[in-house]
Amino acid sequence: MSLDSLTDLVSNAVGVLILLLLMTALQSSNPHYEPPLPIEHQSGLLPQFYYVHRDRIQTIDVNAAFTNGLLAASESDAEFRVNADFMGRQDEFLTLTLQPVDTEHWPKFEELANIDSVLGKSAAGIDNSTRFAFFFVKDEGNGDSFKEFSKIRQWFLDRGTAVGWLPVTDDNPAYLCSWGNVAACRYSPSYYGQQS
Amino acid sequence: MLAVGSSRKLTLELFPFISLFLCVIGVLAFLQNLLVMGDIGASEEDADQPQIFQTSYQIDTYPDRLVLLPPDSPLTQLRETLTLDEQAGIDSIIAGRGFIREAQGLELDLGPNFNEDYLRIALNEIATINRVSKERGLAYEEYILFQIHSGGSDAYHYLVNLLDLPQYSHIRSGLDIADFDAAEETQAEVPQ
Repeated sequence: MSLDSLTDLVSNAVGVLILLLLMTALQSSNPHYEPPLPIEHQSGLLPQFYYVHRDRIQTIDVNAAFTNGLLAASESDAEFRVNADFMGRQDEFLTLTLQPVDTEHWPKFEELANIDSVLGKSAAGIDNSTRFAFFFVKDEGNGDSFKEFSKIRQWFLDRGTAVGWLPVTDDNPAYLCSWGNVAACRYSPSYYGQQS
Repeated sequence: MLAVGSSRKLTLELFPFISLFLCVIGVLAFLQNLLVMGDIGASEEDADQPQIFQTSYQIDTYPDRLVLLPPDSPLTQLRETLTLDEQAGIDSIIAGRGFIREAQGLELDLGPNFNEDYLRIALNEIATINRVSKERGLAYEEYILFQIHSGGSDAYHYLVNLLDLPQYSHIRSGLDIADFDAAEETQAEVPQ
Protein backbone atom coordinates (compact mmCIF):
# COMPACT_ATOMS: atom_id res chain seq x y z
CA MET A 1 0.00 0.00 0.00
CA SER A 2 1.41 3.36 -1.01
CA LEU A 3 1.54 5.81 1.87
CA ASP A 4 0.93 8.89 -0.30
CA SER A 5 -2.12 7.53 -2.04
CA LEU A 6 -3.61 6.30 1.23
CA THR A 7 -3.06 9.69 2.85
CA ASP A 8 -4.70 11.38 -0.13
CA LEU A 9 -7.66 9.04 0.07
CA VAL A 10 -8.13 9.57 3.78
CA SER A 11 -7.76 13.33 3.69
CA ASN A 12 -10.19 13.54 0.76
CA ALA A 13 -12.79 11.45 2.55
CA VAL A 14 -12.48 13.45 5.75
CA GLY A 15 -12.56 16.73 3.80
CA VAL A 16 -15.79 15.77 2.04
CA LEU A 17 -17.40 14.81 5.32
CA ILE A 18 -16.37 18.08 6.92
CA LEU A 19 -17.82 19.96 3.97
CA LEU A 20 -21.09 18.06 4.29
CA LEU A 21 -21.19 18.85 7.99
CA LEU A 22 -20.57 22.54 7.38
CA MET A 23 -23.28 22.70 4.71
CA THR A 24 -25.80 21.03 6.98
CA ALA A 25 -24.91 23.35 9.84
CA LEU A 26 -25.24 26.43 7.63
CA GLN A 27 -28.58 25.26 6.27
CA SER A 28 -30.02 24.72 9.73
CA SER A 29 -28.80 28.11 10.95
CA ASN A 30 -30.60 29.89 8.07
CA PRO A 31 -34.22 28.72 8.35
CA HIS A 32 -36.47 29.65 5.45
CA TYR A 33 -38.26 32.89 6.35
CA GLU A 34 -41.56 33.87 4.84
CA PRO A 35 -42.71 37.44 5.40
CA PRO A 36 -45.98 37.54 7.34
CA LEU A 37 -49.16 38.23 5.42
CA PRO A 38 -50.55 41.66 6.34
CA ILE A 39 -53.94 40.25 7.32
CA GLU A 40 -55.68 41.78 10.28
CA HIS A 41 -55.72 39.21 13.06
CA GLN A 42 -58.10 38.89 15.96
CA SER A 43 -55.93 39.35 18.97
CA GLY A 44 -56.00 39.69 22.72
CA LEU A 45 -53.37 42.41 22.45
CA LEU A 46 -54.43 45.89 23.49
CA PRO A 47 -53.63 48.83 21.22
CA GLN A 48 -51.27 51.64 22.06
CA PHE A 49 -52.42 54.39 19.71
CA TYR A 50 -50.27 56.74 17.66
CA TYR A 51 -51.04 59.33 15.03
CA VAL A 52 -48.71 59.91 12.09
CA HIS A 53 -48.98 63.20 10.23
CA ARG A 54 -46.33 63.91 7.58
CA ASP A 55 -42.98 63.49 9.36
CA ARG A 56 -44.48 63.82 12.84
CA ILE A 57 -45.78 61.22 15.25
CA GLN A 58 -47.84 61.65 18.39
CA THR A 59 -48.87 59.13 21.00
CA ILE A 60 -52.54 59.12 22.01
CA ASP A 61 -53.47 58.69 25.65
CA VAL A 62 -56.89 57.04 25.39
CA ASN A 63 -57.85 57.52 29.04
CA ALA A 64 -56.99 61.19 28.89
CA ALA A 65 -58.85 61.52 25.60
CA PHE A 66 -62.05 60.19 27.12
CA THR A 67 -61.65 61.82 30.50
CA ASN A 68 -60.74 65.20 29.16
CA GLY A 69 -61.88 64.87 25.57
CA LEU A 70 -64.43 67.64 25.48
CA LEU A 71 -62.34 69.80 27.77
CA ALA A 72 -59.26 69.26 25.61
CA ALA A 73 -61.22 70.29 22.56
CA SER A 74 -61.59 73.76 23.99
CA GLU A 75 -57.94 74.13 24.96
CA SER A 76 -55.81 76.09 22.57
CA ASP A 77 -52.71 73.94 23.11
CA ALA A 78 -54.45 70.61 22.60
CA GLU A 79 -52.73 68.16 20.26
CA PHE A 80 -56.00 67.00 18.77
CA ARG A 81 -59.34 68.57 18.10
CA VAL A 82 -61.75 66.10 19.67
CA ASN A 83 -65.38 65.60 18.74
CA ALA A 84 -67.67 63.34 20.74
CA ASP A 85 -70.58 61.50 19.19
CA PHE A 86 -72.76 58.48 19.80
CA MET A 87 -72.84 55.79 17.16
CA GLY A 88 -75.60 53.24 16.67
CA ARG A 89 -79.16 53.24 17.91
CA GLN A 90 -79.54 50.13 20.02
CA ASP A 91 -76.00 49.84 21.30
CA GLU A 92 -74.96 53.39 21.80
CA PHE A 93 -71.33 53.96 22.54
CA LEU A 94 -69.33 57.09 22.80
CA THR A 95 -66.98 57.75 19.91
CA LEU A 96 -64.32 60.38 19.80
CA THR A 97 -63.04 61.54 16.45
CA LEU A 98 -59.62 63.11 16.38
CA GLN A 99 -58.20 65.73 14.05
CA PRO A 100 -54.57 66.71 14.57
CA VAL A 101 -53.74 70.28 15.57
CA ASP A 102 -50.41 72.11 15.22
CA THR A 103 -48.47 69.04 14.19
CA GLU A 104 -45.32 71.12 13.61
CA HIS A 105 -44.74 70.83 17.35
CA TRP A 106 -45.15 67.08 17.43
CA PRO A 107 -42.11 64.86 17.92
CA LYS A 108 -40.27 63.31 15.01
CA PHE A 109 -39.47 59.69 14.33
CA GLU A 110 -36.03 59.98 15.90
CA GLU A 111 -37.58 60.61 19.34
CA LEU A 112 -38.92 57.07 19.45
CA ALA A 113 -35.48 55.97 20.60
CA ASN A 114 -35.28 58.70 23.26
CA ILE A 115 -36.75 57.17 26.40
CA ASP A 116 -36.67 60.54 28.16
CA SER A 117 -39.32 61.86 25.75
CA VAL A 118 -43.04 61.17 26.10
CA LEU A 119 -43.02 59.39 22.75
CA GLY A 120 -39.97 57.28 23.62
CA LYS A 121 -41.44 56.36 27.01
CA SER A 122 -44.64 55.28 25.36
CA ALA A 123 -42.79 53.08 22.84
CA ALA A 124 -40.47 51.62 25.46
CA GLY A 125 -43.45 50.88 27.72
CA ILE A 126 -45.09 48.52 25.25
CA ASP A 127 -45.00 44.95 26.56
CA ASN A 128 -45.09 42.85 23.39
CA SER A 129 -46.99 40.08 25.13
CA THR A 130 -49.93 42.31 26.03
CA ARG A 131 -49.90 45.33 23.71
CA PHE A 132 -49.34 46.30 20.12
CA ALA A 133 -48.84 49.60 18.33
CA PHE A 134 -51.76 50.93 16.30
CA PHE A 135 -51.30 53.88 13.97
CA PHE A 136 -53.70 56.34 12.46
CA VAL A 137 -51.90 57.57 9.35
CA LYS A 138 -53.10 60.80 7.79
CA ASP A 139 -53.44 60.49 4.03
CA GLU A 140 -53.12 63.88 2.35
CA GLY A 141 -52.55 62.47 -1.10
CA ASN A 142 -48.80 63.11 -1.25
CA GLY A 143 -47.51 59.96 0.44
CA ASP A 144 -45.53 61.82 3.13
CA SER A 145 -47.28 60.20 6.07
CA PHE A 146 -47.18 56.78 4.42
CA LYS A 147 -43.45 57.05 3.92
CA GLU A 148 -42.94 58.01 7.55
CA PHE A 149 -45.25 55.30 8.79
CA SER A 150 -43.27 52.72 6.83
CA LYS A 151 -40.13 53.63 8.75
CA ILE A 152 -41.96 53.68 12.07
CA ARG A 153 -43.62 50.34 11.41
CA GLN A 154 -40.26 48.71 10.73
CA TRP A 155 -38.82 50.25 13.88
CA PHE A 156 -41.52 48.61 15.99
CA LEU A 157 -41.39 45.30 14.11
CA ASP A 158 -37.64 45.09 14.66
CA ARG A 159 -38.37 45.29 18.38
CA GLY A 160 -40.88 42.46 18.20
CA THR A 161 -43.92 44.71 18.58
CA ALA A 162 -46.99 43.85 16.52
CA VAL A 163 -48.34 46.70 14.41
CA GLY A 164 -51.74 47.65 13.02
CA TRP A 165 -52.76 50.76 11.13
CA LEU A 166 -55.62 52.67 9.58
CA PRO A 167 -55.30 55.36 6.91
CA VAL A 168 -57.38 58.39 7.87
CA THR A 169 -58.53 61.50 6.04
CA ASP A 170 -60.57 64.61 6.81
CA ASP A 171 -63.71 62.71 5.74
CA ASN A 172 -62.75 59.52 7.56
CA PRO A 173 -60.95 60.76 10.67
CA ALA A 174 -59.29 58.76 13.42
CA TYR A 175 -61.74 57.57 16.05
CA LEU A 176 -61.68 55.98 19.47
CA CYS A 177 -64.64 54.13 20.93
CA SER A 178 -65.69 53.69 24.51
CA TRP A 179 -66.85 50.13 23.89
CA GLY A 180 -64.39 47.79 22.24
CA ASN A 181 -66.82 44.95 21.56
CA VAL A 182 -68.41 46.71 18.62
CA ALA A 183 -66.91 45.65 15.29
CA ALA A 184 -66.23 49.23 14.24
CA CYS A 185 -64.20 49.75 17.39
CA ARG A 186 -62.02 46.69 17.10
CA TYR A 187 -58.40 47.42 16.41
CA SER A 188 -56.29 44.54 15.21
CA PRO A 189 -52.62 44.06 14.43
CA SER A 190 -51.71 43.29 10.82
CA TYR A 191 -48.00 42.70 11.20
CA TYR A 192 -46.09 40.79 13.80
CA GLY A 193 -42.57 41.54 14.93
CA GLN A 194 -39.71 39.25 14.14
CA GLN A 195 -38.64 38.83 17.74
CA SER A 196 -40.71 36.98 20.30
CA MET B 1 0.67 6.47 13.96
CA LEU B 2 2.73 9.01 12.10
CA ALA B 3 6.23 9.18 13.37
CA VAL B 4 9.34 11.05 12.56
CA GLY B 5 12.17 8.67 11.78
CA SER B 6 15.81 9.34 11.96
CA SER B 7 15.86 10.00 8.23
CA ARG B 8 12.93 12.48 8.79
CA LYS B 9 10.68 10.29 6.60
CA LEU B 10 7.03 9.85 7.56
CA THR B 11 5.96 6.28 8.24
CA LEU B 12 2.46 5.03 8.75
CA GLU B 13 1.17 2.17 10.85
CA LEU B 14 -2.03 0.85 9.35
CA PHE B 15 -4.21 -0.11 12.35
CA PRO B 16 -3.71 2.98 14.52
CA PHE B 17 -4.41 5.04 11.47
CA ILE B 18 -7.65 3.17 10.69
CA SER B 19 -8.64 3.53 14.31
CA LEU B 20 -8.14 7.29 14.23
CA PHE B 21 -9.91 7.52 10.89
CA LEU B 22 -12.96 5.65 12.17
CA CYS B 23 -13.03 7.86 15.26
CA VAL B 24 -13.13 10.99 13.16
CA ILE B 25 -15.85 9.58 10.89
CA GLY B 26 -17.83 8.40 13.89
CA VAL B 27 -17.76 11.81 15.54
CA LEU B 28 -18.79 13.50 12.29
CA ALA B 29 -21.62 11.02 11.72
CA PHE B 30 -22.83 11.58 15.27
CA LEU B 31 -22.88 15.35 14.80
CA GLN B 32 -24.69 14.95 11.50
CA ASN B 33 -27.32 12.77 13.16
CA LEU B 34 -27.83 15.34 15.88
CA LEU B 35 -28.46 18.06 13.30
CA VAL B 36 -30.86 15.91 11.29
CA MET B 37 -32.82 14.99 14.40
CA GLY B 38 -33.07 18.67 15.31
CA ASP B 39 -34.56 19.43 11.90
CA ILE B 40 -37.09 16.61 12.22
CA GLY B 41 -38.14 17.89 15.64
CA ALA B 42 -38.69 21.38 14.26
CA SER B 43 -40.79 20.19 11.34
CA GLU B 44 -42.92 18.05 13.65
CA GLU B 45 -43.66 21.16 15.71
CA ASP B 46 -44.66 22.97 12.51
CA ALA B 47 -46.92 20.10 11.55
CA ASP B 48 -48.87 20.50 14.80
CA GLN B 49 -50.08 23.90 13.62
CA PRO B 50 -53.03 23.74 11.23
CA GLN B 51 -51.78 25.24 7.98
CA ILE B 52 -54.26 27.19 5.89
CA PHE B 53 -53.19 28.16 2.43
CA GLN B 54 -54.15 31.82 2.18
CA THR B 55 -54.29 33.61 -1.14
CA SER B 56 -54.82 37.30 -1.60
CA TYR B 57 -57.34 38.98 -3.86
CA GLN B 58 -55.63 42.30 -4.36
CA ILE B 59 -57.56 45.56 -4.55
CA ASP B 60 -55.58 48.73 -5.22
CA THR B 61 -57.27 51.90 -4.01
CA TYR B 62 -56.54 55.20 -5.77
CA PRO B 63 -58.21 58.59 -5.26
CA ASP B 64 -60.32 58.11 -8.38
CA ARG B 65 -60.41 54.39 -9.06
CA LEU B 66 -60.07 50.83 -7.82
CA VAL B 67 -58.09 48.10 -9.52
CA LEU B 68 -59.08 44.51 -8.83
CA LEU B 69 -56.51 41.77 -9.29
CA PRO B 70 -57.79 38.27 -8.50
CA PRO B 71 -55.47 35.46 -7.43
CA ASP B 72 -53.95 33.16 -10.03
CA SER B 73 -55.14 30.01 -8.32
CA PRO B 74 -56.32 26.96 -10.31
CA LEU B 75 -58.41 25.76 -7.34
CA THR B 76 -57.53 22.19 -8.35
CA GLN B 77 -58.16 20.62 -4.95
CA LEU B 78 -61.45 22.42 -4.62
CA ARG B 79 -62.65 21.28 -8.07
CA GLU B 80 -61.90 17.66 -7.24
CA THR B 81 -64.41 17.71 -4.40
CA LEU B 82 -67.26 19.15 -6.46
CA THR B 83 -69.99 17.67 -8.60
CA LEU B 84 -69.94 18.41 -12.32
CA ASP B 85 -72.52 21.19 -11.97
CA GLU B 86 -70.60 22.78 -9.15
CA GLN B 87 -67.37 22.47 -11.12
CA ALA B 88 -68.96 24.46 -13.93
CA GLY B 89 -69.61 27.31 -11.50
CA ILE B 90 -66.03 27.30 -10.26
CA ASP B 91 -64.73 27.03 -13.84
CA SER B 92 -66.60 30.17 -14.81
CA ILE B 93 -65.03 32.01 -11.85
CA ILE B 94 -61.56 30.79 -12.87
CA ALA B 95 -62.14 31.81 -16.49
CA GLY B 96 -63.39 35.28 -15.53
CA ARG B 97 -60.40 35.78 -13.26
CA GLY B 98 -58.11 34.67 -16.05
CA PHE B 99 -59.45 37.41 -18.32
CA ILE B 100 -58.97 40.02 -15.60
CA ARG B 101 -55.41 38.91 -14.93
CA GLU B 102 -54.57 38.99 -18.62
CA ALA B 103 -55.80 42.59 -18.67
CA GLN B 104 -53.54 43.40 -15.67
CA GLY B 105 -56.56 43.96 -13.46
CA LEU B 106 -60.11 45.23 -13.62
CA GLU B 107 -60.21 49.01 -13.29
CA LEU B 108 -63.32 50.56 -11.73
CA ASP B 109 -63.71 54.30 -12.09
CA LEU B 110 -65.01 55.85 -8.87
CA GLY B 111 -66.63 58.73 -10.75
CA PRO B 112 -70.36 59.31 -11.17
CA ASN B 113 -70.68 56.22 -13.38
CA PHE B 114 -69.20 53.92 -10.76
CA ASN B 115 -70.87 50.52 -10.87
CA GLU B 116 -70.71 48.62 -7.60
CA ASP B 117 -71.93 45.42 -9.28
CA TYR B 118 -68.46 44.39 -10.46
CA LEU B 119 -67.17 44.80 -6.96
CA ARG B 120 -70.00 42.75 -5.50
CA ILE B 121 -69.39 40.01 -8.07
CA ALA B 122 -65.77 39.82 -6.95
CA LEU B 123 -66.75 39.71 -3.28
CA ASN B 124 -69.40 37.06 -3.99
CA GLU B 125 -66.77 34.92 -5.71
CA ILE B 126 -64.47 35.12 -2.71
CA ALA B 127 -67.34 34.40 -0.32
CA THR B 128 -68.43 31.38 -2.40
CA ILE B 129 -64.95 29.90 -2.70
CA ASN B 130 -64.27 30.34 1.01
CA ARG B 131 -67.64 28.85 1.94
CA VAL B 132 -67.27 25.79 -0.30
CA SER B 133 -63.66 25.26 0.83
CA LYS B 134 -64.76 25.31 4.44
CA GLU B 135 -67.68 22.95 3.79
CA ARG B 136 -65.36 20.46 2.07
CA GLY B 137 -62.77 20.73 4.83
CA LEU B 138 -60.11 22.20 2.55
CA ALA B 139 -57.41 24.36 4.06
CA TYR B 140 -57.80 27.13 1.50
CA GLU B 141 -58.90 30.69 2.12
CA GLU B 142 -58.96 33.82 0.02
CA TYR B 143 -58.59 37.19 1.68
CA ILE B 144 -58.56 40.73 0.39
CA LEU B 145 -55.31 42.62 0.38
CA PHE B 146 -55.90 46.35 0.05
CA GLN B 147 -52.99 48.18 -1.48
CA ILE B 148 -53.48 51.79 -0.43
CA HIS B 149 -52.07 54.40 -2.79
CA SER B 150 -51.70 58.03 -1.76
CA GLY B 151 -55.12 59.61 -1.73
CA GLY B 152 -56.82 56.20 -1.86
CA SER B 153 -57.80 56.08 1.80
CA ASP B 154 -61.39 57.24 1.34
CA ALA B 155 -61.87 54.50 -1.25
CA TYR B 156 -60.48 52.04 1.30
CA HIS B 157 -63.01 53.17 3.91
CA TYR B 158 -65.80 52.75 1.38
CA LEU B 159 -64.67 49.16 0.73
CA VAL B 160 -64.35 48.35 4.41
CA ASN B 161 -67.92 49.53 4.95
CA LEU B 162 -69.00 47.25 2.11
CA LEU B 163 -67.20 44.33 3.74
CA ASP B 164 -69.19 44.95 6.92
CA LEU B 165 -72.30 43.64 5.14
CA PRO B 166 -73.33 40.29 6.66
CA GLN B 167 -72.73 38.30 3.47
CA TYR B 168 -69.11 39.47 3.33
CA SER B 169 -68.29 39.90 6.98
CA HIS B 170 -66.41 36.59 7.19
CA ILE B 171 -63.97 37.65 4.47
CA ARG B 172 -60.71 38.57 6.07
CA SER B 173 -58.69 41.49 4.87
CA GLY B 174 -55.39 43.23 5.29
CA LEU B 175 -53.95 46.49 4.10
CA ASP B 176 -50.57 47.65 3.01
CA ILE B 177 -48.92 50.72 1.55
CA ALA B 178 -48.59 50.54 -2.22
CA ASP B 179 -46.84 53.71 -3.23
CA PHE B 180 -43.19 52.88 -2.85
CA ASP B 181 -40.79 50.16 -1.89
CA ALA B 182 -41.06 50.27 1.88
CA ALA B 183 -38.01 48.06 2.30
CA GLU B 184 -35.80 50.64 0.63
CA GLU B 185 -37.19 53.47 2.71
CA THR B 186 -36.66 51.72 6.00
CA GLN B 187 -32.94 51.23 5.41
CA ALA B 188 -32.17 54.88 6.10
CA GLU B 189 -31.88 56.74 9.35
CA VAL B 190 -33.30 54.24 11.78
CA PRO B 191 -32.58 55.36 15.35
CA GLN B 192 -31.26 52.62 17.62
